[in-house]
Parts: sequence; C-alpha cells; structure tokens
Amino acid sequence: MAPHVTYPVLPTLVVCRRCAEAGAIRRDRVGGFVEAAGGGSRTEGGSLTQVRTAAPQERGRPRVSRVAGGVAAAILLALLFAYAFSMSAGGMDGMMMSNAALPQDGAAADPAVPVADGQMVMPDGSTMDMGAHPSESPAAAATDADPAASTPAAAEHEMVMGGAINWYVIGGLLALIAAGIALAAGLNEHLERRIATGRLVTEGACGE
Amino acid sequence: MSSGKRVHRPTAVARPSRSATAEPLADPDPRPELYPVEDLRLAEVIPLPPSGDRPNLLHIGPLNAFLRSRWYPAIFQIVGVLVFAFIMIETLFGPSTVHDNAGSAIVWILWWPLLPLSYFMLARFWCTVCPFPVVGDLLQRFAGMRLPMPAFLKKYGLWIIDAWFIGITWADHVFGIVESPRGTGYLLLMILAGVLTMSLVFERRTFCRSVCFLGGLSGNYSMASPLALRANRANCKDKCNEMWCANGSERAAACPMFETPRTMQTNRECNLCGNCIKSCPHGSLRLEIRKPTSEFWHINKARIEVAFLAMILVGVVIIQNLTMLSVWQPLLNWVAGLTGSTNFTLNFTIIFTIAMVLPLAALALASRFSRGDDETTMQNFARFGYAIIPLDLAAHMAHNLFHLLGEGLAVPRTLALFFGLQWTLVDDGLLNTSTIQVLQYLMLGAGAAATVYAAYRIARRAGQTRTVRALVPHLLLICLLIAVNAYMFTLPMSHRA
Repeated sequence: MAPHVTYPVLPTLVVCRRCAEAGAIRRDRVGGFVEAAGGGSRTEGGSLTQVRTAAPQERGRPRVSRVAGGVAAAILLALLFAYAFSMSAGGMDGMMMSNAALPQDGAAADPAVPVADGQMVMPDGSTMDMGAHPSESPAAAATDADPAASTPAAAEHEMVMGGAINWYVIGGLLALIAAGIALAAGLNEHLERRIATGRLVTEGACGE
Repeated sequence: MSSGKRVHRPTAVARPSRSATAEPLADPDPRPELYPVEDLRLAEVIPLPPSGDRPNLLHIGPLNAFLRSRWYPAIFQIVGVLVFAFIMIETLFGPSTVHDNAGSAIVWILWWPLLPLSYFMLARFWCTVCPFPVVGDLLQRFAGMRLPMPAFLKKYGLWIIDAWFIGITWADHVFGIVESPRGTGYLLLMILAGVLTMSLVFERRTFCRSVCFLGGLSGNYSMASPLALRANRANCKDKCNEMWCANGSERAAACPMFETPRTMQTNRECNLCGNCIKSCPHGSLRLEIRKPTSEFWHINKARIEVAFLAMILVGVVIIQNLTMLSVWQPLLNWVAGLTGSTNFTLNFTIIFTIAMVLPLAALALASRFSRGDDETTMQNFARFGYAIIPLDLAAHMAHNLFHLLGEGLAVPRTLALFFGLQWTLVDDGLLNTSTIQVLQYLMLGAGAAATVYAAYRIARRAGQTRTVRALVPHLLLICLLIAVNAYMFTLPMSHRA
C-alpha cells in the first residue's frame, strides 16, 4: 500500500487521524523518514493531524540548558582566571599600545600638506591626529606640549585613552552575555516542556 | 533544516533480533528498515500546537499580544522617523564640523556601530523600523502606482545591492562622507529620494528588497541571528490554501518583502514586521530562538551573490580599518610612488580594488582545491562563502566597538551643544583603548570560532565524502583572514568625531 504521507521531520508527523489511532505509522530507521500507511487520507475524506511520536522524556537528547550552563560556567571561570591574571601581572597596559603613543609615520601623499608625527592625511587634504578628534582638545594639547604635564584634563585624557585594562567591565559584559544565553536556553526549554505536555494546543499561537 | 537534528536516535529502540524472536515480525512491508510503530512506543499521542513542536516565543502571551497589536511595529517606526528627521536637519543645517554635529555623532558613533549588533540579535528588525521606507509606505498608500517589481530587479537585485555597497564604501572615502556632516546629510537624502521614488512607482518595499545597500548587509548578518520567524509547513499544507501570510488579509498588509513565510527557510529577506503573524488565521507562524549561525549549514541552495557579498565585506572591513590606522599613510605613499601620482582618488581606488578583489580571489582559490567531483568551483565558492559571514560580522562589530566605546560620549556632548547645555568632560571615550582592544579580540575570537564551525558543518554536508579535503583549504583561508583582522586590531586607530 502506498504511504499517504512521507515527511522527513521528526518527531512531528502529519498523518491521518485513523493512521495515528491505529498506530499504523512506520519509521525508516536509516534515514529518519516516516511513513503512514493504512486508514484514510485527506483525499479519501480523512482528516490530517499532527502528532508527537516520541515519549515525552526525549530519550538520549541533551538538554539545552546544560549547554547554556556549561557556557556560562566556562565564561565565569575564564573571568576568574583573567581577574587573577590581572591582579598578578598588574594589568596589561604596558603590553597594549595606547593611542597616545603612536608609531612614527612617513610623509603625506600630497607634499603640499605638511604632516607632523602621529598625524594622518584625510581625503579632503586636512590632517587628523591619530587617536584624537580633528579639533585639538585642551587635554591633548597639554599632553603634546609637555608629556609630563599633570593637569586634571591631561590626567583624565590619559585615564581614558591609555590606562590599564578594566577587567570589571569586561567581566560584566561577559556575564551579561552568559546570562542572555542561559535565559534564552531556559526559555526555550520552558516552552518546549509546555508543548511536550500538550498545554499549548489551543493557546497562544492561534489568535482566532 | 534545523529540525533534522531532532530525529530520535534509533538506539533508543532495540532492533528486534530475528533469531532471538520466536515469531517473525508481522510486517507486511518487506523492507527491513521499517519497524512497526509499537516499537517506538507511540504510547502517547500528544497533539501539537499549530506552530509545530519547536519552541515558539509567540506562546508568551504578552509578546504574542504585542506583536499582533496595531502598535507593533508602529511605535518603533514613529520613534525612528522622529530621530532621523532630527538627524537629517542637524546634518544638513547644523554645525559643519563633524566634531560638533549631533547628527553625525548619532549616525556614525551610535547608529552605525549598533547596526551589526542589532542584525545579529534581532535579525532584520531594524529594516522594519528604518524611517526611510516608513515614509515611502505612507507615500505609497496615498499616491503609489503599485507596479509589480521588475523582473530584472527580482533576478539581479542582490547583485545591484552588492554593487551599490561597494560604490558607497568607495564614495565614503573619496568624498569624505563620514568626515562631513553635510556629506552624511546628502547620503541620507539620497537614500530617502531613492526610497520615495521606488515606493511611488513599485509595490511594497521594492527598494528594500532589491536596491538598498544596507539590505545586503542586513541580509547576510541576520542569517547568523538566533532569532528567526518560520512557519509550520505541515500546518500550512494541511489547513491553508489562501496564503494569507504572503498575500495579506484584512488584519495586515501583504509581506512587504515579497516573501512567502510558509516556505521561508532563511532570515535574509524577513524584516520581522509581524504582518504574517497578524494575517495567519491558523497560528502557523513561530518566532523561535535557535543556535546562532545554524542557518549557514542548513542552506539548501547556496547563492553566489551572498557569498560574493560576504567576501566583499571582508575587504570593506579591511579598508575601513586600514584608513583609520597609522599604516595607511605609508601605504598610500607607497602606492603613490608606484603610480607616480599624488592623486588621492587614483591611489585610493587602486588599494580599494585590491582589497575587494583579493578576498574574492582567495576564496575562489580555496574553492578550487576544496571542490569535489560533484560540484563546480563556483558552487563550492557559494557554499563556503556563507561560512565567512560570522567572521565578517565579528570583525565589523569589533571595528565599530572602537567608535562606540572609544568615542561614545560624543553623542551626549554634541546633543548638549545642540541644546545649549554645559558639557565638562574632555574626552569622549566610554572605555580606554586597552579595554576596548580586549573586547575586540574576544569578539573576533567568537566570530572566528563560529566561522570555523560553520565551515566544518558545511563541509560535513549530507553526501559529502571528502570532508577533510573540502575543509582544509577553507580553514587555511579563514586562519589568514583571522590573522589579518587580529593584526589590524593591534594598531592604534583614529576616531570619527
């Protein structure tokens, strides 16, 4: 007998009700295809329905929240290590290049435009300080004029542009990401469980 | 198709041994692979919701109600139109220096850096909020001719988008669009003019689907998104002959992007406007959270235009980085020495062309070595081009992170200037450079891992017999691209405002 439906998606099947009730559903173990045989089909006046063929315990399937928990735990561990490293190494600011200390560049493409060290020629012919906006800020000016200057403005500029890595911010962002992943996975699992228990047949999706 | 993973392992059901059983199975079908359903313990037949067996965010009551209400997406669109009206006025008539212009700051330091992140987190939701087509929709409602989209746009739309994206990037550097508030204003005006013209003549959002240069970017990036709108095709096939989702109903208009949500398998053209959710009377639509980037290895028919854009984006990010780095000027000088000309446009165009062509050539070369006997180089190019998209996205976000966090305070500063308020902070940085660099590397690392995994999954496609041979050339290319990007993020970068 020719199958009424061949549908490559499990565990959702579309079979005629009589097939489902009679249990006349077969599974191709190799390809995961499903055939429903026997009973009536839509063309024969039967009605189609969707059924869940698997037992609710979802045998052998890893839960998503475990993965999310693993990711979150890994990130938090990494954070701990990173924080410990930052404490022991005293920060990595010495290893990182700050915008205040730039390599020396060559001359400009247009010889008519004089280019100082640490500047870049823009398409319109103007020059721009690397690591600063085109209009010279008082702090940058103070720093350029005297590298040892310790005005409050220069101190603030140095704090923003140079300085040590802020591991608290990085840790906070990573924790936020981990929380987001865990939340999404938990939400997915919650919704899946409600489907598995048959509580979402009529509620929610259909607005009519 | 993602639900392919949901196939239950046959190990859960012991295959009955014919020698061990006293009676042979009463199976009228002679094929040995078929087993009676009793073996699978179909003890419990649980009816499914109309949207199928996958988790559906629309099952969260308040979210479902909001997405079906008339306020979605109108509330976001109203805010978007107001903000961009301010931006256009400010960029066209405000201060002429980028440092002091609030419009420029909002566009290039806030909106542009957040855009790739938004495409990743919320797929193409921005395209629904985008104020330009919203104005176009209004115009179309009252004066639109509503002609069908021309066939050539349907066929070559993505190529047009690719070409325009390259052109805009080139023009940005040659005419200094980002560095000039007026340039930004003219760019926005040009987009608005294009949208209004297309909306006046053609139906729905023809501009967004076939012309908008951001459409290509958003299409590529949104494929990596964990958020996706899909339909339960089984339910559609069973209950629907009218295709309300595509054609619209009295509750909502037709899909503005000319999509048919019931058969949609990709995020590329879905704006998450919610029209199909409102229109479908059968509740077949589902908004799902899935594994990020999983779409790349479930693509049935890879499109070469998408892969082309993915590689072009590699070049664009390299160019965007290069022009803000201290190595840019020596490079420009070196090219000037080769050409014997100090003409910026000429020298830049040469570097730009090389930056665009090199990644394409590299992927073509990798595909030449990777392809099996059953596919052409171009088919392999198209398949594996998708794998580069996560790296594009990560590199793009990492680059923009510098602008967002390194000069993010330029937005409140320029706004304070606009409203005549005092602003005492000297620097615009939210974080220092070292911290931003660490975040850039983390982002690049995540993108690199996603790209490598996507390439692995693509290489391991069904029917592929030589997975390792297919994978290795592309892995080498990916490593090269990662190294180039990582190197560029070690160099100091100039600010936009």
